[in-house]
Amino acid sequence: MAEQTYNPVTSGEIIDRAKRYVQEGYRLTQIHCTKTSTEMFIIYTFEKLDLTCENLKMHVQVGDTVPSISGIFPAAFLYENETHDLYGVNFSDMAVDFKGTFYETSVKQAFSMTGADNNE
Amino acid sequence: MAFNVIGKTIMKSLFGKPATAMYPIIKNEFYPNTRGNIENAIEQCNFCGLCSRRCPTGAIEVSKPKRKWEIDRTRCIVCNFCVHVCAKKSLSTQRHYTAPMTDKAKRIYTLYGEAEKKDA
Amino acid sequence: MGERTIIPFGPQHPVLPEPLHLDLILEDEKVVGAVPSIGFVHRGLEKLVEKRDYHEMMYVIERVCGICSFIHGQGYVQTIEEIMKIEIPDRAKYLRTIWAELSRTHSHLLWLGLMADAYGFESLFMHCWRVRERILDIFEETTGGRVIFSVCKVGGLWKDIDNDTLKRIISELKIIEDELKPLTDVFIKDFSVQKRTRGIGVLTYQEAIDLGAAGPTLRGSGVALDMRKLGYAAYGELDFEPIVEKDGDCYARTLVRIREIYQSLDLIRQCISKIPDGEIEVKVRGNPNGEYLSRIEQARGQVIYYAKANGTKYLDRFRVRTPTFANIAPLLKMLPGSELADVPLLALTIDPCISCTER
Ligand code: SF4
Ligand code: SF4
Repeated sequence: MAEQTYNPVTSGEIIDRAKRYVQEGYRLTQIHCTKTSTEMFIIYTFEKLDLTCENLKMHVQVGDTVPSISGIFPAAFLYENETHDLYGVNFSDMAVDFKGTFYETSVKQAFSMTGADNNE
Repeated sequence: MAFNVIGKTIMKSLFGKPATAMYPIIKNEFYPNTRGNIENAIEQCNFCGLCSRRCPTGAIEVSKPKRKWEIDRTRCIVCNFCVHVCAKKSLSTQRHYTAPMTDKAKRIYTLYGEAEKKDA
Repeated sequence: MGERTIIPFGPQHPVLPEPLHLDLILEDEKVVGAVPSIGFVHRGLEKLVEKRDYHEMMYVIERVCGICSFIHGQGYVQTIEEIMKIEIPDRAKYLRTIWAELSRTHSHLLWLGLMADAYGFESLFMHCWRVRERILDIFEETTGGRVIFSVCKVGGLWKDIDNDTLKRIISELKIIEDELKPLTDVFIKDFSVQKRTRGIGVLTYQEAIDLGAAGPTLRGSGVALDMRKLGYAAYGELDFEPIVEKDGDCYARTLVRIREIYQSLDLIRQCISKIPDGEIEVKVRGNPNGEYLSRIEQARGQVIYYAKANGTKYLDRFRVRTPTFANIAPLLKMLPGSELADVPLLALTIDPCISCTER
């Protein structure tokens, strides 16, 4: 199948990019965060009704604050709360902010540690 | 719009045979493929420990010096992976499920190879 | 205007066997707002990829959900195969499609039963599940498991279905269809059933798109989006169109699912008539390196898998976005304005599977 591209984006640009996607008729499919031993990034996926799909990749660090796109795509608040609770990335101006109670894990920001950090 | 559309079905089940069987008087027939529980033909096993390393749940414990093969029946999810990886083909999946147990210690099922005493 | 009350709904609720908790803000009997909280069964399965090698992980991913277990496994192996650039044999593709469609049928039947249960139609519930048993029997006969099948693997399948069994499945499908017809008629035609479903929880076309709804919830609002159209597995060679209903209410969503059952049965027949002979697996060497995001269609809607591999046998990250997660936002849109007595029904029409949402 076709190669997938992940267009780089910075936290300053994300709002503008999201607005452009709205105009082009995309909808938000998902947001998720990934942390490996060397890098950490958030992937935004947008799709159109004709099945095309685009990905944005934003490099972040634990504790960073990223502007929320839940003002543009209302469904984003769930993914942003999830990312906040599991990875410790903060989102400013979320439509609904659970303040870290979306997933109540016994270890806070459970996914922000990789296996290498734990040294298991 | 119609009323009592299910009436016919109700009549059928009122006078027809029940859909369920009288367990335990009538026992269920298992299919040849049914994955029930894992057995080891211990005389073929060479205690290489491959099954225990590949088991996703860590249910198997193998000790080469003691010539011991041990499975925790309650941890095993009968995924069949150990059966596929065993080079000696000593593992097999039986058609019958593990019987219910009242004693937790019974969940561990141990087999000993020939050099030692036969069974525990 | 009445006084406002907050009523907690779930996580233990007789209608919903899933731990979804909603704080309902009520004015008299009318819902004016709802705040969800999930996270009661968060298991962190995604994190396990760092400790299980990518072959073993298949069995873990399958256990994310008990209903879509096959499709989860299929999605996972597809993602890994995509990263490793493995092309699986055609027969394996068709077999995967058959099992996936059987899964969809049994999931929808399960849902129809639960739906009947939600408006108190116990006997209909029992009958739906009676028909579903036949599909589970097919599963047990072909894969060895009734719920968890463990037949997928990276590079193909562990088990083949021989042609005699495939023929038997066809005749079984006929029986299922005949038994199903009088039951689905109840959902479509019965007066009291329509009383509970028509005009309840309307989600408009635009809302469904904007809120990121997935699956029957989306298609019930008139949006023809079905990931099977991407043509993964054997879907590219099968003849089908996404099923769409316009009204966007509970009735439309029920109709979509009912028609999808018949569509699935038809797809299985198409598969069985076209299935080629041949191998069912290819040899897999080496470890995956790279990343891939795949979208496939589950019974409940679009599901997204993302895998990032680093060239060792452990993956760095595996992400599952289940359809229920996408459907929570539409649910919150449907709730305000409904009656308290309709809340269980509305929560059910998105076909929630909270345990797989939280992995
Ligand atoms: S993989 Fe087979 S031979 Fe090796 S220890 Fe396990 S059962 Fe014995
Ligand atoms: S069947 Fe699966 S879980 Fe059970 S012992 Fe074998 S590998 Fe482990």
